[in-house]
Amino acid sequence: MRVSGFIFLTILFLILSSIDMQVNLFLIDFFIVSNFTYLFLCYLCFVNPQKINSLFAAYIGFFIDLHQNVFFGLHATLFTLTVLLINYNYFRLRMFSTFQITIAFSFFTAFFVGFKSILLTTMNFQYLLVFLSFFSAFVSYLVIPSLGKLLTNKIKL
Amino acid sequence: MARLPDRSSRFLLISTFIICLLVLFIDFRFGTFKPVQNFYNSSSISIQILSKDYISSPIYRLVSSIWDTKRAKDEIQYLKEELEKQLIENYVISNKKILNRNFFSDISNLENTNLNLLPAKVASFDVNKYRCCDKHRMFLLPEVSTIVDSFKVVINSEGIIGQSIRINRNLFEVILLSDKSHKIPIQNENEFYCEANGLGIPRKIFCDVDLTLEEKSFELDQQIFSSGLGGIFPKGIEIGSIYEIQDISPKEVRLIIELNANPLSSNYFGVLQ
Repeated sequence: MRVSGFIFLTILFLILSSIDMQVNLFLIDFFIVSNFTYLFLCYLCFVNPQKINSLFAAYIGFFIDLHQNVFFGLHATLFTLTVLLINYNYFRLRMFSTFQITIAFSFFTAFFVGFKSILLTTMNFQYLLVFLSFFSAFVSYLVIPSLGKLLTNKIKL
Repeated sequence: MARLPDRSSRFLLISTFIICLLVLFIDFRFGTFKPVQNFYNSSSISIQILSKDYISSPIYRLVSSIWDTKRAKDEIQYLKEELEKQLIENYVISNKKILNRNFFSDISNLENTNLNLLPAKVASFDVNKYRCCDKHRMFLLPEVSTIVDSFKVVINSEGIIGQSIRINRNLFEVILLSDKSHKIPIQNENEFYCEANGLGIPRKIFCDVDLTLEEKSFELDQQIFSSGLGGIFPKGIEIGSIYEIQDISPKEVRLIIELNANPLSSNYFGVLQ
Protein backbone atom coordinates (compact mmCIF):
# COMPACT_ATOMS: atom_id res chain seq x y z
CA MET A 1 0.00 0.00 0.00
CA ARG A 2 1.26 3.45 -0.88
CA VAL A 3 1.81 6.05 1.82
CA SER A 4 -0.97 8.28 0.42
CA GLY A 5 -3.39 5.36 0.54
CA PHE A 6 -2.25 4.53 4.04
CA ILE A 7 -2.89 8.10 5.23
CA PHE A 8 -6.19 8.22 3.36
CA LEU A 9 -7.38 5.03 5.05
CA THR A 10 -6.27 6.29 8.47
CA ILE A 11 -8.24 9.50 8.02
CA LEU A 12 -11.17 7.53 6.65
CA PHE A 13 -11.25 5.24 9.68
CA LEU A 14 -11.02 8.23 12.02
CA ILE A 15 -13.93 9.88 10.21
CA LEU A 16 -15.98 6.69 10.42
CA SER A 17 -15.12 6.43 14.09
CA SER A 18 -16.35 10.00 14.61
CA ILE A 19 -19.54 9.22 12.72
CA ASP A 20 -20.05 6.15 14.90
CA MET A 21 -19.59 8.22 18.03
CA GLN A 22 -22.06 10.86 16.86
CA VAL A 23 -24.65 8.35 15.69
CA ASN A 24 -24.36 6.36 18.90
CA LEU A 25 -25.32 9.42 20.90
CA PHE A 26 -28.81 9.11 19.44
CA LEU A 27 -29.06 5.36 19.03
CA ILE A 28 -27.88 4.30 22.48
CA ASP A 29 -31.31 5.14 23.91
CA PHE A 30 -32.72 2.39 21.70
CA PHE A 31 -29.94 -0.10 22.70
CA ILE A 32 -28.45 0.08 19.24
CA VAL A 33 -24.83 0.87 18.44
CA SER A 34 -23.46 1.88 15.10
CA ASN A 35 -20.36 -0.01 13.91
CA PHE A 36 -19.46 1.45 10.55
CA THR A 37 -15.76 1.41 11.42
CA TYR A 38 -15.69 -2.26 12.29
CA LEU A 39 -17.82 -3.29 9.31
CA PHE A 40 -15.67 -1.22 6.97
CA LEU A 41 -12.58 -2.99 8.27
CA CYS A 42 -14.28 -6.37 7.78
CA TYR A 43 -15.18 -5.41 4.24
CA LEU A 44 -11.68 -4.16 3.39
CA CYS A 45 -10.06 -7.22 4.91
CA PHE A 46 -12.38 -9.52 3.02
CA VAL A 47 -11.93 -7.71 -0.29
CA ASN A 48 -8.21 -7.17 0.00
CA PRO A 49 -6.62 -9.53 2.56
CA GLN A 50 -3.12 -9.01 1.13
CA LYS A 51 -3.05 -5.32 2.05
CA ILE A 52 -5.35 -5.18 5.05
CA ASN A 53 -3.42 -7.46 7.34
CA SER A 54 -3.22 -7.79 11.09
CA LEU A 55 -0.54 -5.11 11.39
CA PHE A 56 -2.75 -2.60 9.63
CA ALA A 57 -5.70 -3.66 11.81
CA ALA A 58 -3.61 -3.18 14.95
CA TYR A 59 -2.42 0.23 13.73
CA ILE A 60 -5.98 1.40 12.99
CA GLY A 61 -7.20 -0.14 16.23
CA PHE A 62 -4.65 1.76 18.31
CA PHE A 63 -5.58 4.97 16.55
CA ILE A 64 -9.29 4.43 17.25
CA ASP A 65 -8.48 3.59 20.87
CA LEU A 66 -6.79 6.94 21.17
CA HIS A 67 -9.56 8.67 19.28
CA GLN A 68 -12.38 7.18 21.33
CA ASN A 69 -10.38 7.39 24.55
CA VAL A 70 -10.95 3.78 25.58
CA PHE A 71 -8.50 1.18 26.89
CA PHE A 72 -5.39 1.28 24.77
CA GLY A 73 -5.37 -1.91 22.71
CA LEU A 74 -9.08 -2.71 22.92
CA HIS A 75 -9.92 -1.99 19.31
CA ALA A 76 -6.48 -3.11 18.22
CA THR A 77 -7.00 -6.54 19.78
CA LEU A 78 -10.51 -6.97 18.45
CA PHE A 79 -9.59 -5.73 14.99
CA THR A 80 -6.58 -8.03 14.87
CA LEU A 81 -8.71 -10.92 16.02
CA THR A 82 -11.23 -10.13 13.30
CA VAL A 83 -8.55 -9.99 10.63
CA LEU A 84 -7.21 -13.25 11.98
CA LEU A 85 -10.63 -14.86 11.73
CA ILE A 86 -11.29 -13.52 8.25
CA ASN A 87 -7.85 -14.64 7.06
CA TYR A 88 -8.23 -18.10 8.53
CA ASN A 89 -11.69 -18.48 7.00
CA TYR A 90 -11.02 -16.51 3.85
CA PHE A 91 -11.62 -19.28 1.29
CA ARG A 92 -14.69 -20.44 3.17
CA LEU A 93 -16.11 -16.92 3.21
CA ARG A 94 -15.35 -16.51 -0.48
CA MET A 95 -17.81 -19.27 -1.23
CA PHE A 96 -20.56 -17.54 0.75
CA SER A 97 -23.26 -15.48 -0.91
CA THR A 98 -23.50 -11.78 -0.10
CA PHE A 99 -26.36 -12.51 2.27
CA GLN A 100 -24.31 -15.10 4.14
CA ILE A 101 -21.32 -12.80 4.33
CA THR A 102 -23.56 -10.07 5.72
CA ILE A 103 -24.83 -12.47 8.39
CA ALA A 104 -21.28 -13.61 9.18
CA PHE A 105 -20.02 -10.05 9.58
CA SER A 106 -23.10 -9.18 11.63
CA PHE A 107 -22.17 -12.03 13.96
CA PHE A 108 -18.64 -10.73 14.16
CA THR A 109 -20.05 -7.30 15.00
CA ALA A 110 -22.27 -8.73 17.73
CA PHE A 111 -19.23 -10.37 19.29
CA PHE A 112 -17.21 -7.21 18.85
CA VAL A 113 -19.92 -5.20 20.64
CA GLY A 114 -20.16 -7.88 23.30
CA PHE A 115 -16.40 -7.87 24.01
CA LYS A 116 -16.33 -4.11 24.05
CA SER A 117 -19.27 -3.98 26.42
CA ILE A 118 -17.65 -6.44 28.79
CA LEU A 119 -14.65 -4.17 29.17
CA LEU A 120 -16.29 -0.78 28.87
CA THR A 121 -19.64 -1.24 30.58
CA THR A 122 -18.83 -4.04 32.99
CA MET A 123 -21.42 -3.01 35.55
CA ASN A 124 -24.21 -2.38 33.04
CA PHE A 125 -23.70 -5.08 30.46
CA GLN A 126 -26.84 -5.56 28.42
CA TYR A 127 -27.53 -8.53 26.20
CA LEU A 128 -30.13 -6.50 24.34
CA LEU A 129 -27.40 -4.22 23.08
CA VAL A 130 -25.44 -7.18 21.72
CA PHE A 131 -28.54 -8.73 20.23
CA LEU A 132 -29.72 -5.57 18.51
CA SER A 133 -26.27 -4.72 17.28
CA PHE A 134 -26.47 -7.83 15.12
CA PHE A 135 -29.45 -6.36 13.28
CA SER A 136 -27.98 -2.89 13.12
CA ALA A 137 -24.81 -4.36 11.63
CA PHE A 138 -26.89 -6.34 9.14
CA VAL A 139 -28.58 -3.14 7.98
CA SER A 140 -25.35 -1.16 8.03
CA TYR A 141 -23.51 -3.73 5.93
CA LEU A 142 -26.02 -3.16 3.12
CA VAL A 143 -24.35 0.17 2.41
CA ILE A 144 -20.77 -0.61 3.44
CA PRO A 145 -19.72 -2.44 0.21
CA SER A 146 -20.97 0.39 -1.99
CA LEU A 147 -19.27 2.93 0.22
CA GLY A 148 -16.11 0.84 0.33
CA LYS A 149 -15.98 0.46 -3.45
CA LEU A 150 -16.48 4.17 -3.90
CA LEU A 151 -13.75 5.10 -1.46
CA THR A 152 -11.17 2.44 -2.24
CA ASN A 153 -11.39 3.15 -5.96
CA LYS A 154 -9.98 6.57 -5.20
CA ILE A 155 -6.79 5.11 -3.78
CA LYS A 156 -6.74 2.05 -6.04
CA LEU A 157 -6.48 -0.30 -3.08
CA MET B 1 -4.18 -25.82 9.21
CA ALA B 2 -6.23 -23.36 7.22
CA ARG B 3 -4.69 -21.81 4.15
CA LEU B 4 -4.10 -18.07 4.35
CA PRO B 5 -4.92 -15.68 1.48
CA ASP B 6 -1.67 -13.72 1.71
CA ARG B 7 1.98 -14.59 2.21
CA SER B 8 2.17 -13.22 5.73
CA SER B 9 3.02 -15.92 8.17
CA ARG B 10 0.73 -17.21 10.83
CA PHE B 11 3.36 -16.19 13.33
CA LEU B 12 2.97 -12.53 12.35
CA LEU B 13 -0.81 -12.70 12.57
CA ILE B 14 -0.88 -14.39 15.93
CA SER B 15 2.00 -12.42 17.38
CA THR B 16 0.29 -9.15 16.43
CA PHE B 17 -2.84 -10.33 18.13
CA ILE B 18 -0.93 -11.38 21.24
CA ILE B 19 0.93 -8.08 21.39
CA CYS B 20 -2.33 -6.16 21.12
CA LEU B 21 -3.85 -8.35 23.79
CA LEU B 22 -0.84 -7.75 25.99
CA VAL B 23 -1.07 -3.98 25.48
CA LEU B 24 -4.77 -4.13 26.36
CA PHE B 25 -4.09 -6.15 29.48
CA ILE B 26 -1.30 -3.83 30.64
CA ASP B 27 -3.42 -0.76 30.04
CA PHE B 28 -6.48 -2.34 31.64
CA ARG B 29 -4.59 -3.59 34.67
CA PHE B 30 -2.01 -0.86 35.22
CA GLY B 31 -3.09 2.09 33.07
CA THR B 32 0.39 2.19 31.55
CA PHE B 33 -0.70 3.91 28.35
CA LYS B 34 -2.70 6.61 30.05
CA PRO B 35 0.00 9.25 29.34
CA VAL B 36 -0.14 8.37 25.63
CA GLN B 37 -3.89 8.82 25.63
CA ASN B 38 -3.61 12.01 27.62
CA PHE B 39 -1.06 13.35 25.15
CA TYR B 40 -3.31 12.44 22.21
CA ASN B 41 -6.35 13.97 23.88
CA SER B 42 -4.57 17.17 24.86
CA SER B 43 -3.08 17.46 21.36
CA SER B 44 -6.42 16.92 19.65
CA ILE B 45 -8.16 19.35 21.98
CA SER B 46 -5.42 21.94 21.38
CA ILE B 47 -5.76 21.48 17.63
CA GLN B 48 -9.52 21.78 17.90
CA ILE B 49 -9.25 24.98 19.95
CA LEU B 50 -6.62 26.45 17.64
CA SER B 51 -8.59 25.59 14.53
CA LYS B 52 -11.72 27.00 16.13
CA ASP B 53 -9.99 30.19 17.21
CA TYR B 54 -7.98 30.83 14.08
CA ILE B 55 -9.91 29.16 11.26
CA SER B 56 -13.56 28.36 11.86
CA SER B 57 -14.47 31.23 14.18
CA PRO B 58 -12.94 33.96 11.98
CA ILE B 59 -14.66 32.51 8.93
CA TYR B 60 -17.94 32.25 10.81
CA ARG B 61 -17.54 35.75 12.19
CA LEU B 62 -16.71 37.09 8.72
CA VAL B 63 -19.73 35.45 7.12
CA SER B 64 -22.06 36.43 9.95
CA SER B 65 -20.69 39.99 10.06
CA ILE B 66 -21.30 40.36 6.31
CA TRP B 67 -24.83 39.10 6.82
CA ASP B 68 -25.38 41.24 9.91
CA THR B 69 -23.96 44.32 8.20
CA LYS B 70 -26.28 43.86 5.25
CA ARG B 71 -29.26 43.40 7.56
CA ALA B 72 -28.26 46.37 9.68
CA LYS B 73 -27.83 48.52 6.57
CA ASP B 74 -31.28 47.55 5.32
CA GLU B 75 -32.75 48.28 8.71
CA ILE B 76 -30.98 51.63 8.94
CA GLN B 77 -32.20 52.53 5.46
CA TYR B 78 -35.74 51.55 6.38
CA LEU B 79 -35.62 53.53 9.62
CA LYS B 80 -34.10 56.51 7.83
CA GLU B 81 -36.89 56.51 5.27
CA GLU B 82 -39.53 56.20 7.96
CA LEU B 83 -37.91 59.04 9.89
CA GLU B 84 -37.84 61.24 6.81
CA LYS B 85 -41.53 60.55 6.21
CA GLN B 86 -42.28 61.34 9.82
CA LEU B 87 -40.29 64.55 9.67
CA ILE B 88 -42.24 65.68 6.61
CA GLU B 89 -45.50 64.94 8.41
CA ASN B 90 -44.25 66.81 11.45
CA TYR B 91 -43.37 69.75 9.27
CA VAL B 92 -46.87 69.84 7.81
CA ILE B 93 -48.44 69.46 11.25
CA SER B 94 -46.38 72.31 12.62
CA ASN B 95 -47.10 74.44 9.53
CA LYS B 96 -50.80 73.80 9.02
CA LYS B 97 -50.99 76.87 6.84
CA ILE B 98 -49.25 74.93 4.12
CA LEU B 99 -52.46 73.01 3.59
CA ASN B 100 -54.33 76.18 2.67
CA ARG B 101 -54.10 76.26 -1.11
CA ASN B 102 -56.80 78.87 -1.58
CA PHE B 103 -55.55 82.37 -1.00
CA PHE B 104 -59.02 83.70 -0.19
CA SER B 105 -60.21 80.92 2.05
CA ASP B 106 -60.45 81.08 5.80
CA ILE B 107 -57.51 79.42 7.46
CA SER B 108 -59.00 79.28 10.92
CA ASN B 109 -60.29 75.70 10.66
CA LEU B 110 -57.12 74.17 9.27
CA GLU B 111 -56.51 72.29 12.48
CA ASN B 112 -59.21 69.83 11.49
CA THR B 113 -57.92 69.34 7.97
CA ASN B 114 -56.53 65.93 7.09
CA LEU B 115 -52.95 65.66 5.99
CA ASN B 116 -53.34 64.83 2.36
CA LEU B 117 -49.69 64.04 1.89
CA LEU B 118 -48.35 61.64 -0.70
CA PRO B 119 -44.86 60.32 0.10
CA ALA B 120 -42.51 60.06 -2.82
CA LYS B 121 -39.00 58.77 -3.16
CA VAL B 122 -36.21 60.13 -5.33
CA ALA B 123 -35.95 58.19 -8.58
CA SER B 124 -33.36 60.36 -10.21
CA PHE B 125 -31.63 63.55 -9.24
CA ASP B 126 -28.62 64.80 -11.14
CA VAL B 127 -26.70 66.43 -8.32
CA ASN B 128 -23.89 67.53 -10.64
CA LYS B 129 -26.36 69.40 -12.77
CA TYR B 130 -27.94 70.83 -9.63
CA ARG B 131 -24.61 72.16 -8.45
CA CYS B 132 -23.23 73.35 -11.77
CA CYS B 133 -26.09 74.41 -13.89
CA ASP B 134 -29.30 76.37 -13.67
CA LYS B 135 -31.73 73.58 -14.50
CA HIS B 136 -32.71 72.09 -11.17
CA ARG B 137 -35.01 69.16 -11.73
CA MET B 138 -35.70 66.00 -9.82
CA PHE B 139 -37.69 62.87 -10.66
CA LEU B 140 -39.73 61.29 -7.92
CA LEU B 141 -41.61 58.03 -7.54
CA PRO B 142 -44.84 58.24 -5.58
CA GLU B 143 -45.07 55.56 -2.90
CA VAL B 144 -48.64 54.81 -3.92
CA SER B 145 -49.15 54.29 -7.61
CA THR B 146 -51.20 57.34 -8.50
CA ILE B 147 -51.09 60.16 -10.97
CA VAL B 148 -49.48 63.24 -9.52
CA ASP B 149 -50.77 66.25 -11.36
CA SER B 150 -48.74 69.28 -12.24
CA PHE B 151 -48.57 72.28 -9.91
CA LYS B 152 -48.61 70.29 -6.68
CA VAL B 153 -46.41 71.56 -3.89
CA VAL B 154 -43.49 69.30 -3.03
CA ILE B 155 -42.02 69.58 0.43
CA ASN B 156 -39.46 67.91 2.62
CA SER B 157 -38.94 68.16 6.34
CA GLU B 158 -37.33 71.60 5.95
CA GLY B 159 -39.93 73.29 3.81
CA ILE B 160 -41.10 73.80 0.26
CA ILE B 161 -38.67 72.59 -2.37
CA GLY B 162 -40.65 72.99 -5.57
CA GLN B 163 -43.67 71.95 -7.54
CA SER B 164 -44.61 68.91 -9.54
CA ILE B 165 -44.81 68.39 -13.27
CA ARG B 166 -46.95 65.45 -14.34
CA ILE B 167 -45.24 62.70 -16.34
CA ASN B 168 -47.03 59.40 -15.86
CA ARG B 169 -48.60 57.18 -13.21
CA ASN B 170 -45.35 56.03 -11.72
CA LEU B 171 -43.19 59.08 -12.09
CA PHE B 172 -43.34 62.83 -11.85
CA GLU B 173 -40.86 65.64 -12.20
CA VAL B 174 -40.18 68.30 -9.65
CA ILE B 175 -39.02 71.72 -10.66
CA LEU B 176 -37.09 73.11 -7.74
CA LEU B 177 -37.51 76.65 -6.49
CA SER B 178 -33.93 77.40 -7.47
CA ASP B 179 -34.48 76.36 -11.10
CA LYS B 180 -33.92 79.33 -13.37
CA SER B 181 -37.30 79.01 -15.04
CA HIS B 182 -39.24 78.72 -11.78
CA LYS B 183 -41.13 81.59 -10.21
CA ILE B 184 -42.65 81.83 -6.77
CA PRO B 185 -44.64 84.77 -5.36
CA ILE B 186 -43.15 85.88 -2.08
CA GLN B 187 -43.71 88.47 0.61
CA ASN B 188 -42.11 89.68 3.78
CA GLU B 189 -43.58 90.75 7.09
CA ASN B 190 -43.82 94.36 5.87
CA GLU B 191 -46.37 93.58 3.17
CA PHE B 192 -43.78 93.65 0.47
CA TYR B 193 -44.73 91.40 -2.45
CA CYS B 194 -42.52 90.15 -5.22
CA GLU B 195 -42.23 87.33 -7.73
CA ALA B 196 -38.98 85.52 -7.08
CA ASN B 197 -37.13 83.65 -9.78
CA GLY B 198 -34.81 80.71 -9.41
CA LEU B 199 -31.21 81.84 -9.50
CA GLY B 200 -29.83 78.61 -10.92
CA ILE B 201 -27.65 78.24 -7.83
CA PRO B 202 -28.52 75.63 -5.20
CA ARG B 203 -30.96 76.96 -2.59
CA LYS B 204 -30.97 80.45 -4.03
CA ILE B 205 -33.76 82.51 -5.55
CA PHE B 206 -33.78 86.19 -6.35
CA CYS B 207 -36.19 89.02 -6.55
CA ASP B 208 -35.63 92.34 -8.35
CA VAL B 209 -37.21 95.25 -6.50
CA ASP B 210 -38.00 98.56 -8.14
CA LEU B 211 -37.56 101.39 -5.64
CA THR B 212 -38.83 104.16 -7.98
CA LEU B 213 -42.31 104.45 -6.48
CA GLU B 214 -41.49 104.01 -2.84
CA GLU B 215 -38.55 103.30 -0.61
CA LYS B 216 -38.46 99.89 0.94
CA SER B 217 -36.13 98.74 3.60
CA PHE B 218 -34.55 95.30 3.52
CA GLU B 219 -32.02 93.74 5.78
CA LEU B 220 -30.01 90.59 5.71
CA ASP B 221 -31.53 87.46 7.28
CA GLN B 222 -34.98 88.98 6.97
CA GLN B 223 -37.54 86.18 6.71
CA ILE B 224 -39.34 85.65 3.43
CA PHE B 225 -42.67 83.90 3.10
CA SER B 226 -44.73 82.60 0.27
CA SER B 227 -47.49 85.06 -0.57
CA GLY B 228 -49.98 82.52 -1.92
CA LEU B 229 -50.60 84.60 -5.02
CA GLY B 230 -50.81 82.48 -8.13
CA GLY B 231 -52.75 79.76 -6.32
CA ILE B 232 -50.04 77.15 -6.33
CA PHE B 233 -48.11 77.71 -3.16
CA PRO B 234 -49.86 78.22 0.15
CA LYS B 235 -49.74 81.59 1.84
CA GLY B 236 -47.51 82.51 4.74
CA ILE B 237 -45.04 79.64 4.66
CA GLU B 238 -41.51 80.62 5.44
CA ILE B 239 -39.34 79.72 2.52
CA GLY B 240 -36.07 81.38 3.37
CA SER B 241 -34.29 84.56 4.34
CA ILE B 242 -32.46 87.36 2.59
CA TYR B 243 -28.92 86.28 1.92
CA GLU B 244 -27.61 89.23 -0.05
CA ILE B 245 -28.82 92.59 -1.27
CA GLN B 246 -27.29 93.71 -4.58
CA ASP B 247 -27.65 97.16 -6.06
CA ILE B 248 -28.46 96.76 -9.73
CA SER B 249 -29.07 100.47 -10.34
CA PRO B 250 -29.71 103.53 -8.09
CA LYS B 251 -33.41 102.65 -8.03
CA GLU B 252 -33.34 98.90 -8.26
CA VAL B 253 -32.01 96.22 -5.92
CA ARG B 254 -31.77 92.50 -6.23
CA LEU B 255 -32.58 90.41 -3.19
CA ILE B 256 -30.83 87.07 -3.11
CA ILE B 257 -32.85 84.73 -0.91
CA GLU B 258 -31.47 81.60 0.60
CA LEU B 259 -34.06 78.86 0.81
CA ASN B 260 -34.66 76.89 3.98
CA ALA B 261 -35.29 73.58 2.26
CA ASN B 262 -32.34 71.65 0.92
CA PRO B 263 -33.38 69.02 -1.61
CA LEU B 264 -30.17 67.09 -0.92
CA SER B 265 -30.98 66.58 2.74
CA SER B 266 -33.38 63.67 2.22
CA ASN B 267 -34.48 61.01 -0.20
CA TYR B 268 -38.11 61.28 0.74
CA PHE B 269 -40.46 64.08 -0.14
CA GLY B 270 -44.10 64.79 0.36
CA VAL B 271 -46.54 65.98 -2.27
CA LEU B 272 -49.41 68.06 -0.98
CA GLN B 273 -52.45 66.74 -2.80
